[in-house]
Amino acid sequence: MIDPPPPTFEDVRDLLSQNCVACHQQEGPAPFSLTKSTDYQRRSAFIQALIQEDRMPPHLVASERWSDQEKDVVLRWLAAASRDEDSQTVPAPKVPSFRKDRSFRIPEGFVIPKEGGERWHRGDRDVRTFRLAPRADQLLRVQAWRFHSSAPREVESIGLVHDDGTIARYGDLQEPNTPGYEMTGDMGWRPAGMLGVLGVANSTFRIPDGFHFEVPQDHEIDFELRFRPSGIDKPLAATLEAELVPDQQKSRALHLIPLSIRSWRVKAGESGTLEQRWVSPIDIDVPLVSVRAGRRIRGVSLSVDGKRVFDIPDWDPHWQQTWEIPDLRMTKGMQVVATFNVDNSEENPRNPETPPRDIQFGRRTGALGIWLHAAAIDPVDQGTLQQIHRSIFEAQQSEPVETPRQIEQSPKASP
Amino acid sequence: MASKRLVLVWLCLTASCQSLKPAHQMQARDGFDSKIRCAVFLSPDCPIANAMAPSLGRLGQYAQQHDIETLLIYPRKGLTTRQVSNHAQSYGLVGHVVLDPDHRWVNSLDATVTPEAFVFSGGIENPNVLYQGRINDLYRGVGNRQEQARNHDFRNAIERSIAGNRESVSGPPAVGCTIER
Ligand code: HEC
Repeated sequence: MIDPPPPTFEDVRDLLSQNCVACHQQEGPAPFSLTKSTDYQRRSAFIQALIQEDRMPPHLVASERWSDQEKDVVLRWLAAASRDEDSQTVPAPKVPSFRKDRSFRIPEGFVIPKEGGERWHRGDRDVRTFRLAPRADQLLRVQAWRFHSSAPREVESIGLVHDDGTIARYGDLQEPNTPGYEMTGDMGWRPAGMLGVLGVANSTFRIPDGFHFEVPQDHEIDFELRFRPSGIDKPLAATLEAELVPDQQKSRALHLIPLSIRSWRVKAGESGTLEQRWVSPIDIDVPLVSVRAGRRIRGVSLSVDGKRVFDIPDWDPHWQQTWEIPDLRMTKGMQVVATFNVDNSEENPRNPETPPRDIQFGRRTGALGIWLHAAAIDPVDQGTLQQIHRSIFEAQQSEPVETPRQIEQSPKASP
Repeated sequence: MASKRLVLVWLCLTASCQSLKPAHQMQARDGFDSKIRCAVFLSPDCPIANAMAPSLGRLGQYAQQHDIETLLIYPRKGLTTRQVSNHAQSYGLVGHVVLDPDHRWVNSLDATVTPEAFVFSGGIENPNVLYQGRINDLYRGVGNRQEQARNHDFRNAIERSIAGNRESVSGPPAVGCTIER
């Protein structure tokens, strides 16, 4: 048998452009550019290994990944390509269109430290909350966000939220000389990420047509920054821009339905599942979801009436963002279940504690959760939807600490 | 002689290390072959190596205080002295910067990734490796960064040799960016 000839650069150019250069370019979030064919060839063995392990491209949701055939073409090209070939350009993919209608920024002065370390806030490290200015001059209907920073490689994600300014101002007073404060970005019952999470892969984020995030007049936008020290001190300047829905255009506001677990604990070595269920009292569309979960969660998924509509089998908080779910409509009475696979054993490669420790998490707005960004189908129900978030939040305050249902151990015999 | 080729020392990064004698003089007078040295393989754009730079800087300083020299070896082809010394300087690394485009050090020590750490005696021709492995456990795998390192294997190895222990130990394997052969 004769092997087919190895793919040429022409065969892989668009694949590399779409799947690598989006991040690996000058000023991009990735550590080096992959904009020339030789950039791949001189890292050939390393890149082949990462592609084979599905580490790069790093998308968590299967539908965003390239197909096995595409992957195979790139791998065969890498294996065959000689390092002495002339360098050819891998073009950057087209930048999505964006209209800057509003612009917000943080005060300068915070420096992302060169390495992580023990700080006063135990628990979530490498997290900081910032206030953006100015406040909304009118009710803003946001169609798209775009985030720029001076530290694209250190910024892991930002979770956006709005507030009348009282809560974040209190936080800011804790560290009067430096912008931001070292705490998570929940604003009372409004969690960080309520207005979307922008991560490494989506620093420009367009909300599907017909929907928008809403920022009330006079509210400020705040964000919870998750950062990753890179070995060098990085002064942080950051700007958030908003594209607004044109005044005359019809669009529905997205409200939050938090399928979250307020507090949970798990023993060292244990694994199992945690679940949150909710039955919709009205008809809704759910075009977007966000996830709040840490490194002891191995997988998250969402089912509606028993059908899986969203699935991240290998959860990694490093790549979090807000994801689109195409065409998810729930009619009144449908049940949605959020499932979290907890793994506090040594087998979990991302477990921050080795050997594992007993742990417990709690957070007013939920320590773990999938958030549905939902809009009512009947305009009459929009008000109800706004109430749902609040009432779920209030009900949650009396929920007990949950423990995962064991899946790894045989159930105890009951007397 | 091996010692002649050993002098791949391009630049001294700290003021105090300028007082260190060139390697061939040490060979002649101080019995260089039995002298302990450290080596770390690096790449200016490997995020894993860079993330560990602050601890490497501290280790280089610590080794230097005990009169142990650290070689900062950059194996990638096409790098210039200027590029690597800028890199070492901006990341606060302490040691002698070495370009290794022909992989003489890579082959001699059998290095596989950046960053990978060594404690050894002897020269490039016949190194006696006392430690080979990771710097610490900040990364538990490529793409799997912990918030903080908890186990400092390279530091322990340096301490052992300062204490006079010449036992050869291989640490947990280094995690990092593959050195292309
Ligand atoms: C969504 C953005 C994104 C895409 C798409 C992407 N990368 Fe990366 N890549 C990163 C980031 C960010 C890092 C830095 C390491 C990290 O954050 O885990 C990285 C690191 C790397 C590394 C160094 C290893 C490491 O983990 O540090 C290599 C090699 C690499 N990418 C190759 C590729 C290739 C080849 C492609 C296309 C097949 C690709 N990447 C697609 C963002 C991306």
